[in-house]
Amino acid sequence: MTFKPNVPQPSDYMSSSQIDLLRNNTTIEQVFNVNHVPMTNSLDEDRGKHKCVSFISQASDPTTTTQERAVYTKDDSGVPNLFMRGPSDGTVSKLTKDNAWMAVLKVLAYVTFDKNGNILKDPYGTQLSYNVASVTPGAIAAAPFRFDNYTITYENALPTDNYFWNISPQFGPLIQGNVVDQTKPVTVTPTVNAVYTDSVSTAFIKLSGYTVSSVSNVSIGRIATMKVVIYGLAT
Amino acid sequence: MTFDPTKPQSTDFISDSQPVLLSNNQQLNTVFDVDHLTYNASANRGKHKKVTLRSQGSDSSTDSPPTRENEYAMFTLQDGSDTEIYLRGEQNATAFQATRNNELFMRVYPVFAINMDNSDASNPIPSGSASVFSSYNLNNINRLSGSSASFQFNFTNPVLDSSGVATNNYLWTANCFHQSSSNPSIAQVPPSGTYSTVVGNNFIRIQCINQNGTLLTNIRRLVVICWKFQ
Repeated sequence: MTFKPNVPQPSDYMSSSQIDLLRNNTTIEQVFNVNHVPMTNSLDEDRGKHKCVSFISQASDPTTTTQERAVYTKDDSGVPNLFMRGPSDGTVSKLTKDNAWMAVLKVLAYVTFDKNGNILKDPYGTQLSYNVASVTPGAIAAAPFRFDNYTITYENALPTDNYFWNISPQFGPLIQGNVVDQTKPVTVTPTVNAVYTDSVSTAFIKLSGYTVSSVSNVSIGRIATMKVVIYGLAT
Repeated sequence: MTFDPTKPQSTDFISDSQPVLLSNNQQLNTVFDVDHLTYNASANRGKHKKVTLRSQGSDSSTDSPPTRENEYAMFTLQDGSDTEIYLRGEQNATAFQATRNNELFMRVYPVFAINMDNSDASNPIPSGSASVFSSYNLNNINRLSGSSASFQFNFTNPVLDSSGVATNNYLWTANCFHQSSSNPSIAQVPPSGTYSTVVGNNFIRIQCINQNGTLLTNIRRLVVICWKFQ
């Protein structure tokens, strides 16, 4: 049904225009209802609001005047993504990529676990992890400096092994020989390995705790909890 | 041309109402066309070309539109002189800012990141070097101590505060992967009596040392992320 914007003309008879006006009203209602709460909605206060916003990809960035910001989609290498433009034809920023918010870095995985490799939960019972299948503790290393080994296995393989990691450990008391020693600084890094991908791969990351001490005697320590976040570039 | 919603009245002659009805129809078509696919679009009628959000004010506590149960609102407010997107959950939840300075408002935002190894002996190491595996906002890398893993990472764009002024008040994390030693390896900003000599608005210095404070050479990966508060 076609909307006719140029009716009625001054020379039109109402009997002729009536059908056009009726069809126009029908078209307005049908088209408006696609994304908006209908004008005939039973609740006055809901009429005109949006049910959803479906964006049709634009060929170019829209114009904007002062004190307004536009949100739209544009072809992005064959894929429509959400963009926004600031006031007065301001900066154009991409908002989405690969079905996620377009941040510089995106979280590929994260996990919080205890010394036994148990993934912890928040007070509401939600597991504190994303894209992590398991955390497997290794044998407590009696090697100089090194203690506590963990293998974090991802649920879904990461797109690259050239990712960024952020490790936040919290340590319990270190045990040097039979003496509890909390004076030595400690650090956690990917486990030393001759081959990078034996410790950092698309399927897992292996971490070890190390005592930072000039004395290379055996130190056995325990990680109490550890938080690990894996980031990848969003672009 | 203005839209007159009061026409026609029951006492109006159609001949008098005709111009207004015509004008109204034209207005409906024109106004709807601003953000939507038009009534006569060949496909996707009623969907959006864009959503242009006019500023509703400047105070999120008083100017945010009301929301009822099971609805979510997106709108704009002034943040200083900037027009930014805000969101408000159902039942008049506290509105929160969604964009700032043409970026998604994440509270903390990365300004630099790198994943590299120590295999390129150049000085400076270019951003396109094969030893740089992933990076963001990297211009190039200066070696600070021979072949040791001690670097100054120079940013392409400086870190800016919320007012657009260059700043070195940002956060960083650094960690490294060691290939062949049982010694612990620590990645850190080098000790310095002056903060700005190791942390600048357009660079940061990172060194990798062992438990004795000795600079390491066989670092196979160094990962650094710098963050700013938005």
